[in-house]
Amino acid sequence: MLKWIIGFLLVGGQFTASAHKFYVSISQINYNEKGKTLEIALKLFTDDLEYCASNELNKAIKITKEHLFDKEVNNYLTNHFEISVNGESRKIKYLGKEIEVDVTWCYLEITDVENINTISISNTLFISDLPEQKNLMQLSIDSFEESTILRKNNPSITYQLK
Amino acid sequence: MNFSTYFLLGIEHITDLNGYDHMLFIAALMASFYWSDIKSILLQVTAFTIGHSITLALVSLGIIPLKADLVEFLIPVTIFITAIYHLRSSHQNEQFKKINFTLAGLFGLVHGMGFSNFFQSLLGKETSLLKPLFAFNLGVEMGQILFIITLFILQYVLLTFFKFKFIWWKTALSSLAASLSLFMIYTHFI
Repeated sequence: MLKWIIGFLLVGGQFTASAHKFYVSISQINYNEKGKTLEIALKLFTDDLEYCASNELNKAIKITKEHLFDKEVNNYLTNHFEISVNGESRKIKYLGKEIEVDVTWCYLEITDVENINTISISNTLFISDLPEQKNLMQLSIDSFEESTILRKNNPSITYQLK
Repeated sequence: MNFSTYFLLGIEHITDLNGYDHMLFIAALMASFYWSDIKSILLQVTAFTIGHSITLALVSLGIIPLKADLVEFLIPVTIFITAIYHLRSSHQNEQFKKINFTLAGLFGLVHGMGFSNFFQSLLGKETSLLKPLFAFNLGVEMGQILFIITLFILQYVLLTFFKFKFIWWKTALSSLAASLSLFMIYTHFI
């Protein structure tokens, strides 16, 4: 019996036991009908954002204050978050960010958006550095509400509204 | 919000191979039970479910505060105590089951706080969180049921086809849980 116990302990030792770390983000996309604007809020773990943006931009990024590294964060988000409306790729404007304990909220918008028939979202945030990453999408356009989990092997989604 | 999204996230959270702390606790809790003792298994699972559902709801609704760091430390402690309890108990009489039931419920409270730590990271600026909470909680229950079924199928196969003695299974599973949880406690402090 001892042989078995030692065997199991050895196998157990091979695991890298650690706290249950999880890799998720949320992207909330809401349509503001009055302003004809798609309002986007990204909730990202600050440590993941710093790690991935630093890797990609070859620069140490530490988001300790809300006004710091806006240019870099904007760069990183532009590279990894894309939206097409009715088949046309749209320019996303970066508005700023907010720090909340261990997460950073990033706010983006697309202006002059009308008559949305289809909307495609490509979200490759963090997935090249953190293969476990799940990016949760929450879309709310008029009465159309949908949520989807995007990951490394399927990082984009197209919603058909009409 | 879609029910299936949060349901799936619940299943994936508890069955996550990279974060197997909750599965390890369930395995430790079940180490002394035979697959055929379904009534006892169900009772233990129910206690764990009640425990973790209470704190998952209370923390997520903001009724009790969350100390994430403390919870991440306490989770491996619950695994370790449970594993040692099973290692030291030679037979599973009614008293053993009662104490185990209490451990499942009490320690369930700690694991529920761990679930809510994850659940809160999935919340946007939503008006209602009851629906996602309900879907996520059901997903967690489904995930734990899937894990328990897998665990006892493994036990059945080892005992029946590989002629493992039950005491080997019990001791190996408890030792594995005890050693891994000790290692988790250790890594928490470095």
